[in-house]
Amino acid sequence: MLKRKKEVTYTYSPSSKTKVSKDIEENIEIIKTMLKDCDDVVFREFEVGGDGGEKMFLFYVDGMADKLLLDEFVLMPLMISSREVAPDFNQIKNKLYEVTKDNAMVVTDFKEMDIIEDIVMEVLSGDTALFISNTDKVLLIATKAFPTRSVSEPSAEIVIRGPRDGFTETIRINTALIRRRIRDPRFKIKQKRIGVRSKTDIAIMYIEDIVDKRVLDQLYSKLDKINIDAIIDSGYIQQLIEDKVFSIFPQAQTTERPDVVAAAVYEGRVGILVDNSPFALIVPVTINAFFQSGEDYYSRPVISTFIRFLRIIAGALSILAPSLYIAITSFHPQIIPAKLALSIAATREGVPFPAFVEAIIMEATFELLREAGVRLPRPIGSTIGIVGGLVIGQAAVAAGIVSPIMVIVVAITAISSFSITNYELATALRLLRFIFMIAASIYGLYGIVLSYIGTLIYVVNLKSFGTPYLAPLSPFYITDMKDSIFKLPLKYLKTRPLHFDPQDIIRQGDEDGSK
Amino acid sequence: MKRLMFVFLAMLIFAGCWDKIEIEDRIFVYGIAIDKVSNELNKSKGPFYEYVNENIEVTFLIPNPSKVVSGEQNVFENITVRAGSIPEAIEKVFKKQNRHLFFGHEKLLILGEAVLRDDKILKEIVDWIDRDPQKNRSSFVVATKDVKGIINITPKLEKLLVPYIIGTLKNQEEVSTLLNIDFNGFVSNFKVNGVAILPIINKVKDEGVIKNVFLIKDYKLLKEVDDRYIRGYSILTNSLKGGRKLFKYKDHVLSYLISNSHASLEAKEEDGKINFNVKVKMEGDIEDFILNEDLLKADIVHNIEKSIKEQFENELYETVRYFQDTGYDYLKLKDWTKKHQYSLYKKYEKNWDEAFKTAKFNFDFEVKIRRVGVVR
Amino acid sequence: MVPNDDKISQFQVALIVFLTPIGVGIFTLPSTLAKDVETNGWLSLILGGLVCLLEIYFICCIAKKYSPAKFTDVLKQLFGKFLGTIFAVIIFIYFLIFSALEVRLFAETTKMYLLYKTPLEYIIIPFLFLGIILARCGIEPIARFFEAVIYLVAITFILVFLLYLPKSDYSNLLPVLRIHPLKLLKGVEDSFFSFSGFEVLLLLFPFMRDSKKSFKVSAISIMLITFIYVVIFVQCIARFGVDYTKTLLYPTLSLIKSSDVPGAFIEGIEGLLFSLWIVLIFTTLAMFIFAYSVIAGDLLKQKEAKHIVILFLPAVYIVSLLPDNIASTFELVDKLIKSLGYFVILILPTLMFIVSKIKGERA
Repeated sequence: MLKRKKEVTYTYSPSSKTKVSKDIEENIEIIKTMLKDCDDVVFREFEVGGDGGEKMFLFYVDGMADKLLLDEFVLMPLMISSREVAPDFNQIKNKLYEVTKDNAMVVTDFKEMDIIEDIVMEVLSGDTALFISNTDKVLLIATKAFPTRSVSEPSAEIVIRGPRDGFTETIRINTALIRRRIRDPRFKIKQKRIGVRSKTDIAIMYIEDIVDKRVLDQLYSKLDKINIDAIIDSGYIQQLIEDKVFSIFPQAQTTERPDVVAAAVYEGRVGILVDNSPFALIVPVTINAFFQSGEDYYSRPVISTFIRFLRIIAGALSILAPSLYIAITSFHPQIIPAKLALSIAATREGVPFPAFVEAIIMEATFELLREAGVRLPRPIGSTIGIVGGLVIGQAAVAAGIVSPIMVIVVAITAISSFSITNYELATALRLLRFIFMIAASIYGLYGIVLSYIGTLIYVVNLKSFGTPYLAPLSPFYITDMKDSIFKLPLKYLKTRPLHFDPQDIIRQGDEDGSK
Repeated sequence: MKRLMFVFLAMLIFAGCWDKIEIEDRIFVYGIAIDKVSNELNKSKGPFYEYVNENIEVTFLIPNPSKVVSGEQNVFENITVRAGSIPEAIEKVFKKQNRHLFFGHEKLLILGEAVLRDDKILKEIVDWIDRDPQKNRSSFVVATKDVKGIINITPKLEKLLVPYIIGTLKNQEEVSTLLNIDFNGFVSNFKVNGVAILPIINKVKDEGVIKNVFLIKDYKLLKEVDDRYIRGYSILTNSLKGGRKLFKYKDHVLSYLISNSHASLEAKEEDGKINFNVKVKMEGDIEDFILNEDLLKADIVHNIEKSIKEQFENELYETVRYFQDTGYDYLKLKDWTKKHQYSLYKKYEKNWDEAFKTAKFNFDFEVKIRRVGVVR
Repeated sequence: MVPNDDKISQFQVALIVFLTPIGVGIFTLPSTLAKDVETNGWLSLILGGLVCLLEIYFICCIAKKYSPAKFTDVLKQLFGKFLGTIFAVIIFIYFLIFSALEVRLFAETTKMYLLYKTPLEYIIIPFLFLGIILARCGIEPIARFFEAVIYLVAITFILVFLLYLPKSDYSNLLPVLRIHPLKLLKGVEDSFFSFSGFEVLLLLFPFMRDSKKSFKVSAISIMLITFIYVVIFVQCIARFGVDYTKTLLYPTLSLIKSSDVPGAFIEGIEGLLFSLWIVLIFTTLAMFIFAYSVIAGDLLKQKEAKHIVILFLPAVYIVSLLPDNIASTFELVDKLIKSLGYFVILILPTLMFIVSKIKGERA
């Protein structure tokens, strides 16, 4: 066989669009130049129709494509079966492409493409490209089969009652998890690729006739403006679509749980999945959502209400506990009963620092312990808890650096900040706590009120995709009270939350089937 | 704007904390005992006033926090200073103690008899507490004839002295001849009319015993009233919360435990005098009974009720007469008349004390025995 | 999604009318009333509330006719350009001075009850700053702020009611109605001015998304305020008696102070309640600042009220520090209420109503 060496001068640029040439050698040359030094790419050249047959060429990324599928259902029919059965190869020599496409390949999913850059991109995301000589089209076989983590229980949001599946790093699996929960043709999964180099898949999920179109438009316009080299995690997208980037409050909800995303989509919100990230984003979000857990909807309503109250109190405590301690001990001891004041005074007698410094020391220690516990490997992580909780707490008290009451206060703050369902909000509240502490050390209770007012002014000005952050409390939606602080039985949750402005309000018709 | 805020915040952090006093640097004043020790009033000789008078002795009753927690006995420390007034006394405490006096938990005010006899000092003290928003308005006020004795009592069951006295005062719910007066109740009448009633606590052996009350008129002590009139006073002013009445029945002294008492008044004018008709409804139990009679028989119960009723009526007549003799309407009848019979009040408003003195009283008791215990 | 048009709903109007009048005035109100009308304060409060309702009715009538015109434009239409501008300036001064005095009175009470040694300036400055930051944001965030604090306010009131209702001697409220009508009138005057703050309604109409129900909702708010005022007055009298209430400077705070929470974790609840009350005072301040900035913005033909808020900040601060002591502060408040207050909240709406009627008939 003659090998014509054709001079190919090709340099890659993401915007160029090179047409597939009829000359297969030229194509091979272009692709090989493009993927030079990419040693994970496998190129396979072969001939169909026995000796003297036509040349074909396929390439894929090793490890991302399903080799078995290629061997058995692509190469096998093309190289072996085609010789064994009619029609004879010479008869179809001229329409090789059509025959290959229609008659030979035993795979369900393939596409036709004719731009080399696009083809390479698809191959880099796991598909296999099949070049056939004398054809300016390429068959792209869906062979994505890269190693994935199996669906497992989410580690950050654990429920006792409720589904155990969590998102994985693969967007396809994730969309499937959601689709299984919403079998409605009006449920749309729009996919986009963002990232000039990474070309990360992003899926935007919503139900067409529920979602607030304005939110969707806003989201698209923000996504379209993103011009970044790579999206590594959904956190990138979150930061890029938020209005106030310096805010400590998350303006999009993150979750690992498909049931939470599905429920949000049913409420008329938009879910965003990002490939390679097990965290989905939900917009718009209000503070209301952060105090809810999927479990609330699965267990008894009265108990859910109780637990929500508990969470709100926990949220308040995690901000206020140390600052109240400072305000009361250093400014207004008349607030607590005389006996308690006495015992605090007694325990603080040997402590060399003012209450503020004491509180800062302990809170900072606690933050350190928490951070260390998260970063360490799991078996060691739990020892950190023991060392921190028992040894440091006990020793600090024994050494007279802090008072035992302070240790209790820190413990209360820690426990309450862990009982907030959303990790990001819990972090935000932890940060707020320090502001409150500083204010309390200057002005006592007045300082706490001032920082409360300040925080509130900030939060009422915050909007997540046009929805006020404090909705449905402010602005007040009375019908949404049924599922905010309170959780009424499902029977009474007849409308979707109005503060998300859904197009279709009714979620539950009357018992006779009418709406 | 934001920069300005930042500068201000930075300023605050470095310059702020004006009011910060750590809790261990405070002296928690639980009680204040005030006595007058001399009558002498020295004139200040210099061109300005100096601390020259030492006519009152102020004792701050202070628990020692570390002793309280470690569970020792005698955890009260008394800081005693002599001064011309309370603010002066506070200044003097600062001169000998490193910690700050803190009155937010003040629960008891003990006034010596000598203080009560001096209207200037008494007025000053009351106003001092009334004026300062820090002071606790629900603290109790009690008088004593022996301040030194009281503040040196070591309570037997209680660790602290002030809760001991307060607890005893709160036994008003159990004892019909005991009155407790909190600062609110004391000051509102004292400031407006200059009158008040104060219970007396005295040291008997090594216990504090509450006995008798002082009547205060025109901002100073008028006289001491025996315990026997207190029950009647409580019944008339509807402040009776419980307690017993011992009564004679067929030569035996028995006890009637009052569970509920309500007095309703009516006033009429008859030949230039006010005629008060007082109806008292009373419920209670029989606590002991030593006769061989069946207490479940209605007529026997009725007899007992009748004898209690008579004895109550006598007690009330006596009480009213006693208070009429004091010359001032401590029974709050002026208030009552103003509230319920305004025209009558208007007529006698100017010389009410005279009208009260000559007023006639009719008592009508309705005594019910509701329970008799578990034996017949 | 809430449209970004800086408009408020009727519920928010109700909240603004409800929260703006409740401020520092209620601290001293019971003793003023006890001085003037003794036990009949509740009656004069109700009558004062009725007068207030009448004024609100006038305001709503005018607004119905001229909305969504700006308030200064309405003034100019009614009284001519010159007189209208003068009136607007007077109202501007009224709001400016009263926001300053509100801050001053607040700072005085805070100093009294929470921070004895902290300098007055350092209490005033952060409070003013926060007020200005909120007022700058525009009416919609203000309204949303009001909605966000209403829960806390509700808790405050419920606490006050629950703690103090059962323990007082209500016979102290007797005798009823034994009072000279002229004296009662004085009490009605006192009560009426304790509602001052509702006049911000004058300015709110251009900001309403739909102003049909505005009389109804503001009337409900005023009734609620009346109810709260009456309860507080009754509580003070029942607790202290008329004669003693007269002698108190801040009877409401003394009332709060005189509670004891049985068997609770908290002993002196007054510190906490007062702190919660600060939020109520803050709402008043923010609304007043916003009000003067709106009028100034209209007068200076400035679209963005944002900068005007800061422009007059020094003025507010200086006026708030003008009175030497608490006594002269009260005196000043009294004087201004009797002059400016009379004009702005009583005479002006009535006058506007009458003129608009006359003009309406001619047209």
